[in-house]
Amino acid sequence: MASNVDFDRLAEKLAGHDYAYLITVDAQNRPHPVPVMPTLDGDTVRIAALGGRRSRANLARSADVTVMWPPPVPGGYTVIVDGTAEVSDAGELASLAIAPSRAVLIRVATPESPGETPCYSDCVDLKLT
Amino acid sequence: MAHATPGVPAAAITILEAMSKPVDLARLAELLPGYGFAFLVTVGDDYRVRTTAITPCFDGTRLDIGPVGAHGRENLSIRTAVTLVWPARDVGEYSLFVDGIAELPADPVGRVLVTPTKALLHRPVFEPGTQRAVGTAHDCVQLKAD
Repeated sequence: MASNVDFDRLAEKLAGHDYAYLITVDAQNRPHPVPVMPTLDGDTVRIAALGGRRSRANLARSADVTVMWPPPVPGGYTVIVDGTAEVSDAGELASLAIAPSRAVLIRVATPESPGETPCYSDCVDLKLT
Repeated sequence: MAHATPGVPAAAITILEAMSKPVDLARLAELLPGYGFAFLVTVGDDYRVRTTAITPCFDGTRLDIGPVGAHGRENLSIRTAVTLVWPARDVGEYSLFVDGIAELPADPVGRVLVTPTKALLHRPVFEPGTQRAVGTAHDCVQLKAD
């Protein structure tokens, strides 16, 4: 499936963001976040050495993941990527290649934000069309 | 202490107390001022994650996360288990993760309250002298009451 994500803008927005959280979902449908240091390589988000046993078990069940980069400066935007992950192998040094299906920027709504927005937080969808 | 409540088996009460007991709420209250905003993470029936940025207030028992948007409400109406993530200010510092149970008010602009069931401080471990995280090791501290 061709992605509608604007990867040029995503690369631009990720500048200065050094770490992120990988969020997988467990069998009880509960989120499981872990800190990771992903890199954007063209149209792929790569995460090296995913050691967490629970993250790997969750990925074996569902390849849908979310990667969330908190803002490097207070008040900045968080970058959130939803995508499908491919795991290199099942071991502790497993790496991930994530194909993003959506990328958005969000930040906490402030008194200056445009009131009651549909997504509550101040948000921008990084899409091509 | 488990108290006898008519119609509720004592074992069920013990389980509920065990679920709510482990979190060191006083320690959580001490730590929260060191963090800015948080992320509310909910999960839908399709196993997809929804994230929104929030600024929770803690009263010592529950976290008031304010009103939640349409997608978050939809997820919360199906599953009340949520995770809150307070990001670390720097990659080498602790992130704060809280799992909890959300109470969704009937009023769409009403404030959502989350009762913590588990709280963790979590930071990556780096290879000596580098910024390369060791994927197989994490520095993880659970905030337990006992």
